[in-house]
Amino acid sequence: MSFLNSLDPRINRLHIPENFGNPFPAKATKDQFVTFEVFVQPKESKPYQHEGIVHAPTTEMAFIFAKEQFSRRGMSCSGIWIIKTDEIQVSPFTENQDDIYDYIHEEILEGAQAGESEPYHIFQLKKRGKQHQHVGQVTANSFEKALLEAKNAFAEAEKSILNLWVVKDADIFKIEGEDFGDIWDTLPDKKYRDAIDYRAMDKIKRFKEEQRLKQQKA
Amino acid sequence: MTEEALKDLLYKIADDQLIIGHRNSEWTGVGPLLEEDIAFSSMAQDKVGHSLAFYNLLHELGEQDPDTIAFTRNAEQFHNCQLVELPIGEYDFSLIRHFLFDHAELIRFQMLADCPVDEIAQVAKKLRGEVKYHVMHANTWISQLSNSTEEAKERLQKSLEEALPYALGIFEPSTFEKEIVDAGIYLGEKAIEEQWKENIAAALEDSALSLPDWNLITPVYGGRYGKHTEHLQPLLEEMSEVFRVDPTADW
Repeated sequence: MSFLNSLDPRINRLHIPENFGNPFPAKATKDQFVTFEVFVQPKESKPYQHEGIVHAPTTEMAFIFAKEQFSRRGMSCSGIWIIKTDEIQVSPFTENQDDIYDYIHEEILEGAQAGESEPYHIFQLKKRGKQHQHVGQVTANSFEKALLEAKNAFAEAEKSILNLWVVKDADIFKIEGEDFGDIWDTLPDKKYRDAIDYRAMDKIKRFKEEQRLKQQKA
Repeated sequence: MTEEALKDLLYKIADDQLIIGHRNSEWTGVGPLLEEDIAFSSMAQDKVGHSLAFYNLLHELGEQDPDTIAFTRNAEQFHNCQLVELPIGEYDFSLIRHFLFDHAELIRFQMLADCPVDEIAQVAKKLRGEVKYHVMHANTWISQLSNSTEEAKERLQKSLEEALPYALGIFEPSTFEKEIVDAGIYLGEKAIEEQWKENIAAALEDSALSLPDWNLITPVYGGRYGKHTEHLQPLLEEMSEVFRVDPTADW
């Protein structure tokens, strides 16, 4: 297709077809990778916690990237879980400190697509602005059943949970345990040096003082 | 075993790490993907950290302090293999070099973890987990990229063939080879080379790349004895530029 050619470069950038009646070219699809959610376990005794997202072509590549994005110096790490973003089912958010578990009843099973009985993992959001934390696993034959089981297992009268994520165990790529633990061995020793650690102002003041004394002597 | 033999071993290990660390850090800010830029830069920092650990061992054996060793020697005083000093090229070459080098490095660290010199064994044990991740990174990338497009496969294959003669130079035997092996410090370069050939062949099974016949490859030796390509001296000058402004400065 030929485009309208003008002395004004702004017109040229618009790629206006020279003849009316020609269709405009289709918008190109973006060359973007899908996203994966990254969960980090700071210590073997602590729960996995959502840390962020990486873009990657595969789960394995997502781990390779996640390891350096989300487990770095000055922290400790004993494992990473990678979950493709669209494998996570998200409950609605509650407001006014309502507990999401109060909204989960037997009725949610109506219309549920029951499949094989298998383990599901539950992640809870306790406070807005914080991260989802792994609370445990339940056995169920659908996401809805998993929510109901989660209510039985994890709902507490005293605490309200704002939001839940539900994931099949089979959809979690886990790098943890004896085979991998040592890749994080050196993390706690790695130091980050803040700009302030260089004590630049002290050095500048000392230098200026030296210059002043020199001038006085001269 | 003489102390000279041990120092020779430590120097070649540390120099390899410093030079490849510096080379790989040249990708910082211009990596192919944001996430990869961070990962590759972080591993480059690991490498420089490893060289510091080995220069510290040398310092304990009476050599000068790590900064002086790293920043004040000329190319012919470096014991690194020529593989690590080659320019970064395109990303396919840098990935292949990282793959070939780190597979050798992992075997070396595993052997040194059993070294009867306790200080060396401690360093190897402490750092080998990092090298393990470096190898996971390399394997995952090579497999993914080589299976992606025809262009990627061809370019990686070409880089592999270019890098292999230099990679064999990693295992150039030292003057003290027999002495070191007899003392049980580690199993020696020949043993690493054999294991390395097996490991990279296994790792490449998942990839679209193929290894040429080893008999047709002539190793590029010389690096361990101070013979280098024209690329090393400019790298050293750039690396030590800030240090040389004021060698006594307190950072």
